[in-house]
Amino acid sequence: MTIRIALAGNPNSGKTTLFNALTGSNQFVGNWPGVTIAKKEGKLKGAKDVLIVDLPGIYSLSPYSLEEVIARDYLADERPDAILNIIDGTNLERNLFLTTQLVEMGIPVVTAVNMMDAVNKLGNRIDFERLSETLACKALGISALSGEGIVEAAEAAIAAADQPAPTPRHGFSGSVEHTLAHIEEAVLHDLPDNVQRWYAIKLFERDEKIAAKLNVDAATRAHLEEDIRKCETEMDDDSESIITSERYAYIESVIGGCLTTKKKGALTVSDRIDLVVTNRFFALPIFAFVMFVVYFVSVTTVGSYATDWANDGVFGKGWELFGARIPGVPAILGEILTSIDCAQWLQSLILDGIVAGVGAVIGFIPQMLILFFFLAFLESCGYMARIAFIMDRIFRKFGMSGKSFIPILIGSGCGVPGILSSRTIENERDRRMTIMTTTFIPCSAKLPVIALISGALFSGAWWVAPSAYFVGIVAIVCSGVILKKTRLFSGDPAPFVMELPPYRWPAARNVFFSMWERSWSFMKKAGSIILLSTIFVWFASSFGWSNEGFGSVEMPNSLLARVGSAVSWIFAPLGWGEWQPTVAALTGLIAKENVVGTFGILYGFTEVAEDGEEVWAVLQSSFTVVSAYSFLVFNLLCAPCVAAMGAIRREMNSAKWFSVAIAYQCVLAYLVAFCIYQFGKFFTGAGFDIGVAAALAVTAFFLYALFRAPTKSLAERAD
Amino acid sequence: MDAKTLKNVKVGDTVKVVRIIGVGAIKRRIMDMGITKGSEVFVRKTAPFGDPIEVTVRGYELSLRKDDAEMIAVESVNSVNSVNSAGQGER
Repeated sequence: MTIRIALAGNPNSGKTTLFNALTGSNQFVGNWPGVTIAKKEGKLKGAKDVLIVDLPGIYSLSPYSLEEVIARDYLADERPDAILNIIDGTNLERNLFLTTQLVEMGIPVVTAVNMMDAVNKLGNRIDFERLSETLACKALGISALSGEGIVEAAEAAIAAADQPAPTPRHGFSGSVEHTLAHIEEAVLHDLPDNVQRWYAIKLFERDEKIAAKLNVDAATRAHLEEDIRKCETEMDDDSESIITSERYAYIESVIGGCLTTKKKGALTVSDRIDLVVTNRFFALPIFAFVMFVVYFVSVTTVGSYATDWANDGVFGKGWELFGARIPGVPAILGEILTSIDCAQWLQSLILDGIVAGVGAVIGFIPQMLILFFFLAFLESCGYMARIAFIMDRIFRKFGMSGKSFIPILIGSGCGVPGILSSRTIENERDRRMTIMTTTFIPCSAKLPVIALISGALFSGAWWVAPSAYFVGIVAIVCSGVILKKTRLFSGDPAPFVMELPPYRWPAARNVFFSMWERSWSFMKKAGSIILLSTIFVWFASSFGWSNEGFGSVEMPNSLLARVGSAVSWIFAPLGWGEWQPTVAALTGLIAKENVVGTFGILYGFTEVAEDGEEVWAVLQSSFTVVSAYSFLVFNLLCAPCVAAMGAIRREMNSAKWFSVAIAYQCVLAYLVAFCIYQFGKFFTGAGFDIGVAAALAVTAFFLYALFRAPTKSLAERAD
Repeated sequence: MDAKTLKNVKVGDTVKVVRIIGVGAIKRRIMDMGITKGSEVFVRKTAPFGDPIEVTVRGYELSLRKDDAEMIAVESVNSVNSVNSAGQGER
């Protein structure tokens, strides 16, 4: 029989380090049912029949945060055989707060006090015998980083799994205990003895989720309510506060008996770092510098070399290794396929569809690995929390988190890692908002499109490129303000009460684990979607009807071109209702830089420069300045490329939210491009017509959405 | 005049928590993090843009927004460092 041990602890307590040390590479990463929070399980090293389940990092078992609800539901419903509770020895007081709740669940608990090396360095001493005694659970010291004591901790947890859970030692004050006894008697007497206390405390705290789960009828609840009120009047506080305060009071007494601290006074190294890093004057320059390094290395230099190598070398024309020429995968495969007399269409499917599709995904991997390395480093050294601290003031105004800065910055290089880096945002609503808006910032693949339009129609005017970034930023800010007020994003605001963990040098193993885990999850899930979509678009753009019936054709005769012609009327109000720009925009869904190449093909050039210089003259005849800018803005804001959409699908982890995001982006792009074209036309001399009137109406609606009062639940908070 | 709240405590001052005024998720979260009746809170600094603030409570660093700090009623610990009444606090 498998023994299940749940690993529980505060964020920043070294839980991940311990989990990695205990399980090694025997990890399975998934999601908790229905949410995007990662669920990690692993077999204990050297013990086939012991499963360690890593619970989300939590501070408490309240009903208010998703992580906490997941953790307590797992403990209450799945009933693991034991809980291994890891706590940060340098911060016993707050860490023990969770412990006092865990021991009430009726499951054997072993408390592993982590970071003993840091505790010893501070000159503090912990009396483990006494701590075990007072907490009614075995407590021992470990160092997850060096591995000291972790085997003993795991063994203690396995041993505890055989024993019945001891009764918690701590009690509450007389009148609370009296009420708890009443609650147990009234509703809980049918439940097993060892879970009654946990449920009684939750009912006393008026935990709606637990009350609903236990199906307490209205009459009984009214009766309980009376008891709770009486107790509250007596204690002059509400029930939740009474419990929380008494827990902390109890912990103070535990610590008084078990912890001897050396006289404090001198600042720790972490304190000194923080004095500089979040200093009022230095904070922003340092922040800008850190962001510059992250961006420079992962997006512009190392990352883009690696991606170019993967895209143009391995999946392109070939590359060189110590002077030897190694042909690219398409060339090698092409030769093999030709040598075995593979059918032309199948060869095209493999090379232009599958290899190009897989290549597009793999091409992102080097960049992603580097970026995730930085993110993991920033998170585990403690700076990520400071980024949120520094930027919160700005980003919260439009419904995002201080940590939204990173996805948007990275998104200016490439939307895929940008979207994936939203993982660091804990709050689900902030994260969704960030995912939806990140790709508004022009990524590097959109630069050729900007260059094309700017070169062809604006004779390379200096302001076109900056204006694209300006449009992107305004789109993010306005979307934030507008979406925040809709019902989708309303609801109880998430509290921004965040621990600023001490600065620590991250463990290399953790950084690499996290880097690999995130990249792999992208490759697995998004890879399949991207691959399918690329094959689909490949099919649509290389097959169609010709004189000889259905078969392989040039792009202007393809299914895609037909679809483009059929739907091009949709874009007529935007000023570019011809089929060529429509098809160009459609192929932009594979990769935005395709827009330029497609124009080349459709206007009869075989190969075009990156900025499409050859087609400028044709574009000048079919576009006006206004319609060209409308085309540019539409392509900047509409649904991103397939790879980025795959990332959105992956990170939203919900078909509904994925559709909402893509629909919002397309509708916004359409409306903005529409207004630009209609107003532009009006101001460049065309008369007032129904189009301008409609644009006025759209603008009015937009302003209303921007300035209206927020939906109810947010308004309530403002009271 | 309102009672003094954590929002208007000057940087560098230590205060004692009297009561948490709010309700629901935010109140519970504040208390779960150790800001309970009677606990001592040291205001360390404000963020570069003036909000949120960083405090030391129960031996660790915590950041919270001024809007939320306003829900925490406090009193001075020592008369020497006593803080001005509401409205004149640190901005």
